[in-house]
Order: sequence, then structure tokens, then C-alpha cells
Amino acid sequence: MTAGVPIALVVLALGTPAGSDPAGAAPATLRCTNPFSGAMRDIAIDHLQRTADSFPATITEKTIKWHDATRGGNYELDRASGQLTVVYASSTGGFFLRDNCRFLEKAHNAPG
Amino acid sequence: MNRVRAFIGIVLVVALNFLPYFPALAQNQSPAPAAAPAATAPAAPAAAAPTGTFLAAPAWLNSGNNAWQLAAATFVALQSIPGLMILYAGLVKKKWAINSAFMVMYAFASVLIVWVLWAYNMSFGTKWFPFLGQPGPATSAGFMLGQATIPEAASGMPDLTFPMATMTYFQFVFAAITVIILGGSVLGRMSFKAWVIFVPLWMTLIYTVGCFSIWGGGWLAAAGAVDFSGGYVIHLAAGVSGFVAAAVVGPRLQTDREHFPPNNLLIALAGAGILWLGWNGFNGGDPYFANANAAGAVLNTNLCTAVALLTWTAMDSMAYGKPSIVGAINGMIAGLVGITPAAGYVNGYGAIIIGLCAGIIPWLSMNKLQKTALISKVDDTLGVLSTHGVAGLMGGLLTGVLADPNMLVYLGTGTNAPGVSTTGWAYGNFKQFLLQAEAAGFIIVVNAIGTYVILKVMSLFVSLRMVDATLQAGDSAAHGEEAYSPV
Repeated sequence: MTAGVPIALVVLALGTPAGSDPAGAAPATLRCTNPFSGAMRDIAIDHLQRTADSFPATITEKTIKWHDATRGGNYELDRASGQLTVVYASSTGGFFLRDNCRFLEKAHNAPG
Repeated sequence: MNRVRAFIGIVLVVALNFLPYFPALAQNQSPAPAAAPAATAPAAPAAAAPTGTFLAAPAWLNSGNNAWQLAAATFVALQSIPGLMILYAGLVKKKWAINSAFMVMYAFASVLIVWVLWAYNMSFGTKWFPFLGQPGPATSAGFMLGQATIPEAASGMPDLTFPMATMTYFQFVFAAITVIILGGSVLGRMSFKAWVIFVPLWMTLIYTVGCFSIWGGGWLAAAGAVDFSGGYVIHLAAGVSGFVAAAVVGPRLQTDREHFPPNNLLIALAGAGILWLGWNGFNGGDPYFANANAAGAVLNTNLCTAVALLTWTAMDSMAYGKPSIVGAINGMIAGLVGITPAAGYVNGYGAIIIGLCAGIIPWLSMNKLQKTALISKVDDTLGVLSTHGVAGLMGGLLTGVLADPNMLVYLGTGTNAPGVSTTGWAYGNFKQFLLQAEAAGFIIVVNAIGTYVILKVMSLFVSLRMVDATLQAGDSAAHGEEAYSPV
């Protein structure tokens, strides 16, 4: 009981803003929404394989970082706030895109 | 005569080196080199569907954007010839008018050749290193008429709607004006022969590094540093390299340093005017679309420049008791340079703030810092360190402060805008200021060390300075010509 409470609080603190961040579990879907355009995208995070959308990712307690080698862009997810920052290179330097993200709850007995 | 034979020999060797790029002459013996540039031009017009006896215009081509981009490029070209050519020729002592103008004209011509043969792809081609692209020519029909793209920077911008030839020329005029600005630091003593060698070397080894790192999708762009039109890539680079070059080449004759009156201020003013209005293409062309941001950049450019010119004039009046037209030109340039890295990122208030700073900080640099005992040992003829180096650095850092996230560069022209933006410290993003400082540090170090090494190595083979007799006589000894007939 005494050990379980702080762990639960930590999980709650880390998990709440970004949805239920399933640290240590495999694989999970991160749904990101752009606050300006409303555009949504889903990103597959595989904690065991340490990949994001199949690209090698650096996964720590605070962040998940990866580079999209196909379309370009450096991604960084702040796991506490759920904010995803993407830096795109352009002809005038870098541009930043910031999305708000949540991990989707995986439905019980869902196919696949 | 032996020199002529040697020159023809060099031309033949260079020509043979490029033989593989002419498949009919080379009988397709070496297809590999041609494949590299083709990779950066994925959509040549030959793929367009035929209509009657003609090929249709490629679907990606937007004639409005293409026309604006070519016009903007021409505006920037006019800034060099005749803009800076006559500005320099008018500002220097009478005996150096021809030499100064000729240095500009030579640089403009030689940079174009270097640019299309290898340097464009080192600046905007596919990644070779995080700070440099792979060298290769931009000369094949497929490359020139294909859809423009910057392969390493494509993720942050919409598909471009003009051909690679437009892109190559647009970026050439920026490359050319950079080394021409640098030349303003060494007027009145650098050997023309040394200048002839220095320009292609500097363009190949130094300019391409800063350019690829920030504009070509290199490591600084990937980190998020920004430079809208060249506050760092052009002006900070030219200011730092010019200052180092001035130190290595050595000062003018002491008599020239002490007495160097402009020989024709009206000509200088004509050049300055061309420079100001040419900047509409300089900053207005960098969104690569004839869009709303291009218009915002043009307005910001003129607003900032007006404020800087008036502020500099006020500073002159307070310090020296009367307004100076040469000072006004310097203030104009400082304003143009200061807004350059920020033009499409800041709003009108930001432009005014940068203009105020550009009228004060470069003024202090030119009138105080460059007159200290230590700094004044370096004879920076036209004060390029202050009006370009310091102004470019200031503008780049202020971009990190004042960038307004609502100033969207690709508004209406990309699927991922709005929401893709640059946000400055004043809007809550201190990290952008740090990124700008990091980019400035890289440009300063690369230019200072690179320019020093190039000139030191060159000095082993060629004298960097004219001999004293030529320095005394000026144009008549250096070129056998004079700007004004003695008769």
C-alpha cells in the first residue's frame, strides 16, 4: 500500500496530459492534433522495439525523439505535457509544428 | 604568350573533365555523374503529356510564381551590377574607382561559373555532410527544366512551382553579392590577381558551408535555426570574412587611410538607391511564392530601412553636429541588412524595432568600436564589419526574439500551414533565440577560420597586395585605365 501510492501518483502525473502513456508497453498509438488546423495524425510508438512510426527512436522517461527519414522532420514528444514538436527544414531554415498528443486507449478484445 | 598557352591548357583540362555530362560526345561512357543532378530534379518537363505537336507546360509550373522569382532574382542581380559596382566606385578615392568596380564585375561573372558547375549543388543539393551538399553541375537540360526542389529542405515547404533554372539563378545572385560585399573590406590594396583566385575558392569552400547548413536543409535548419534571406548566410559571413581578409591582406597606404574622400557621391547615391529597391527582390523572393508573406517581407524591408536610415542620421547629427549623406547610406544598408534574416518572420512592429536597433548598434560599431586602437588596426575599407556583419548578427538574434508565429511563410500555399511557424522569445519561445545564437557562432567560426586559411595558403603562391608603386598610382597602374579623363 505505502509503496503503491507513490508509483500510482507518478503514473498518473506522467500519464494524464498525454493520455495513458504506456511506458514500457508495446506498441501504442499516439494521436496528435494540430491546434490551429485540427489536422490529426496517428503515430505508432513501439517501446520494446524503440521505434516511432518504424523509425529508430530515443525513448527516455521524459521524451521520445526520432527522425522521419522518409519525409524529413525531427520529432520530439514531451511525455509529461503531451506536446509533440516537429522541426522541418525549409529553404529559410527550420519551421516548428506543435501538436497536442494523447496515447489512445487500446480497447479490450479489439481485433488485431 | 606562354601564359596564353597555359590558360588554354587549363581550359581544355576543365572541359575534358566535364565531357561525361555530354552523353553524345562521351558515348555514354560515364553515366554515373549525370545521375547525381538528375536525382535532385525529379520532374523534367519531358514527362508532360503531348498536346498536338507541342509538349504541354508541366502541371507543376505556375507562371506567376516563376515570373516573380525571375524578377526578384534580377532585382538582386541589379544590386550587384550596377548597384554595388557604382556604390563602391563612387565611395572610394578617385584613383580606385575602376579597380573597385572591376572587382565587383569580376566576382559577379566568376561566381556564376563556379555556381553552376559545382557550388549550387554543394549549397542546395543532396546531403554530403551535415554541413555540405554533394558537388555537381547544374547544367543538364533535365536539371534546368525540371521542377525546383531542395531535397534536404523539402519537408518544411510546399512543392515549388518553378523550374530548377530559376532556383539556380535566384540563388546565384545571392552567392555573388556575398563575396562582392566581402570585397568592400579590401578595396584600395588587394591585388586583382589575388582577388581572381580568392573569389572562386571562397565561394567553393566557405559560402557553400553556411548556405547548406541553414538554407539547404543542413544541420542548422534541421535544428530549427532560421535566416529568412541571408542575415547570417550572406551578411554575417561577408562581414566576418571581409574583416579577416582586411587583416590578412593588410591596410591601404597610410596616406590613403588618412585621406580617402568619396570621388562621386551622386554615383554612390544612385548605387545606394538601386540597392534599397533591389532588396524588394532580395527579401520578397525568399518565400519562393508570390504569396502574402512575400508582400509582408517587402513592406517590412522598406519600413525597417526607413527607420534605420533616419535613426543613423539622427545619431550622426547628435555626434558630429550635422547629418551626413554617407552616414545615411550606411544607415540604409544597416536597416536592409538588419531586417534580412527577419523579413518574413516579424510583423511591422518588429520591423520598426529592428530598424531602431539597426540605426544604433551598427552605428556604435562603426563610429566607436572600429575606431578603438585594437580594432582600427584592421583596415576595413567600407566598414563592412559594422554595416553587414554586426547588422546581420543583430538581425538574426532579434529574429529569435521578435519572430511572430502568425507570420506564416507558406500561408495558403501548403497543406500543413497554418500551424507551421517560427516563434520568438517575445512570444514565449526562448529556445529560438538560443538556436539563432548557435547558428551565428557557427557562421562566425567557419568564416573567420576558413577565410584566414584560404588567404594564408594563397599568399604562398601569389602576393595578396599590390606593390607600393601600384598602390601609389591606383587604377592607371593596376588596369591602365582611369575613371575620369585627365583631359
